[in-house]
Amino acid sequence: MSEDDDATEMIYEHQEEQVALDTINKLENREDHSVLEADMVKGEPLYPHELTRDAVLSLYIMALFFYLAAFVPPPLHGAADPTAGTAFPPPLPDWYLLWAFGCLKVAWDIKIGIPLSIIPFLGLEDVELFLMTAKVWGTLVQGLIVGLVVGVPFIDRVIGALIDPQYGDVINRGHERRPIEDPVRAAIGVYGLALMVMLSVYSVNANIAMYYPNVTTDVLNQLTLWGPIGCALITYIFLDRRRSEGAKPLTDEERFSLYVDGIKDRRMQRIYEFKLNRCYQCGLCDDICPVRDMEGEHELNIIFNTFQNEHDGVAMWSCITCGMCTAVCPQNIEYIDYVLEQRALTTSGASI
Amino acid sequence: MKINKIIMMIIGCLALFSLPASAETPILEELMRKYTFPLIFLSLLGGVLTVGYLYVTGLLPKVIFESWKWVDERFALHRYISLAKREYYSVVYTLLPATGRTMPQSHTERYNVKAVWYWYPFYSLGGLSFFAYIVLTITGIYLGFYYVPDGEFVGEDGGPCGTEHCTSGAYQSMELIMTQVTFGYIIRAVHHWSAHFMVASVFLHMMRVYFVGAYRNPREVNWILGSILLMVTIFFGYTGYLLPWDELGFAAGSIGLEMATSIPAMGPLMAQIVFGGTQLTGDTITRMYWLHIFVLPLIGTILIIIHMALVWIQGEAEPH
Repeated sequence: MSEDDDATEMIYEHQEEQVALDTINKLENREDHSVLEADMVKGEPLYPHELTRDAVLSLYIMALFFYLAAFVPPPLHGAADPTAGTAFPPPLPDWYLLWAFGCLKVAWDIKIGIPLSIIPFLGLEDVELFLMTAKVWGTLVQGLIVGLVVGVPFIDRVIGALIDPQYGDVINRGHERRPIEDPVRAAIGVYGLALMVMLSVYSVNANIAMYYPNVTTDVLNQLTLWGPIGCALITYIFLDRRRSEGAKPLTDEERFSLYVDGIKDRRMQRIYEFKLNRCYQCGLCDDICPVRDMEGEHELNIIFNTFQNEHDGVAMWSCITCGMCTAVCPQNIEYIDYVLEQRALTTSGASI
Repeated sequence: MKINKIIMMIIGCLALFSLPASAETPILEELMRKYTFPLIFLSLLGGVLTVGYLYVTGLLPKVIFESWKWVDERFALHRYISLAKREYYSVVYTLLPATGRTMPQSHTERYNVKAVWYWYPFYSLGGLSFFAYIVLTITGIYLGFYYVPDGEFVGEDGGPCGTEHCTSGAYQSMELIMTQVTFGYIIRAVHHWSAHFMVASVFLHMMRVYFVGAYRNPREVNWILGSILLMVTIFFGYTGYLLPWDELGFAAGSIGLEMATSIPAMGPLMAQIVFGGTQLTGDTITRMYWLHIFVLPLIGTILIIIHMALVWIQGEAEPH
């Protein structure tokens, strides 16, 4: 039983360490400066932020309930009658169950045909194996969807490791990110959402055909198949393009038009200005910058302050152009180019 | 010039193609009948697509900022907002001066991020669905005083079902609630709408968590609990949909029964457990009632407590 004792000891020691760490942090009033310093991003407290928001909103929601109850009351239909025949169009389940209903309808019988007749001189006929009925298959698809939803955190890890074997660990360490920084995840989410919507639309095909005869089941079939894929592709393309915009070099025309605009405004227009505009001061560059450590200036966000003309020239001349800021920048702003250009402008007599 | 012409052409084409076959039907009414629903649908779709396009291309903040500037120039809203902000941060001090504390800083303030995280309204969805759950409990208790879980089909005049109009004890008690019971009609309506709201908000809550990436380490357990809670909510809705035992409930019941029996290997067993047999009978309502008022509330309440305790411990995830 020595193993058990070792494990308990280890747990006990770990606990002591954690408590000591918490106490030190509390005594020194230390707070993580940014994501790079923090082992894990601190969660926002439920109280009082969220509670305040919810308390205000819940009043509106209560008002909405009474408004709907008064003006759109739920009807009570005729009593259930097992002896009556089915009506057309058939009554539908509630809207949140339509996707499951659509799964049942969209599924087709799975049959596999073995083309034995292509073998010559034997006189064999094609054999058709009936594997699964549409109903069973549709029910299994529902189970598959539910399983995928439950397994999202683990599927996410696998995708992260596949896309980036070296740094996929950053994702595993659990930093929540904006959809724009994770185009693949956003695209998959949009695919799922669009699929749910299209399955729901598909499930009411009989009702649609009654009012719009042009929208046949075949059209809906194709839409259900290709619509979500199209949505996901569009999402991925646009998000990825926007993410990589910062890394794209300017064309000559863009440079020229920027200079023309600068002359119009009667001030020097910086070439990289609109790229710097993308900066939302996350502070990652400031954390990673080796010069910042040397200068000892805390709370100095070099890129944004340079852009605001709020520095005293230190940042421009002490930059060693190591490129760490670009490496961590979520917007891929190439700060070194900007610094080098500013140096060139300054030494050739132009004003900063 | 050109745009005007194009718009006029489109309107003309629509008017031409939508002319009625016979001269007796009024043209305007025919147009309205044909195009009201498509116009509403297309405008909603257009709105969603426009906002999505603006978000995806990164123009959304600029558009919001410009429109905000337009409003602010006219109404000077920034004064009142700064006032409200000051009040918000000093509310703890105003209520409890002895503590000498103010409201804690938000994520953007703590990390000095100069960006507006405009997904904040979506963060309230979890709390709002809990609020809807409370409303459902209160109204459900009231409805439970009058509802009778008796699904046996009987004739309206006491004879066998089939020869006369069918009805049942459950349906008769629903009629009682809708017509005789004090506030019964409005309480049922609130129950109905808050149930719909709860399903919608739980689903949107899950969407928010997914797109922000909040299900990652260390919140995987909470994601799984949440997806189980979504299923519990949907089952709540389904069982409640059947309880009035009217035509819609019966149709939904037959669809659900079909789904349950088509589960491979254990279909009949599932039908027996959930529906009380492979036919819709009075037993179905008894099962649904027991699931709706005891089993699901028990599971749901326990899971909600764990779910919210975990959020309390770990905090809400906000992307940097």
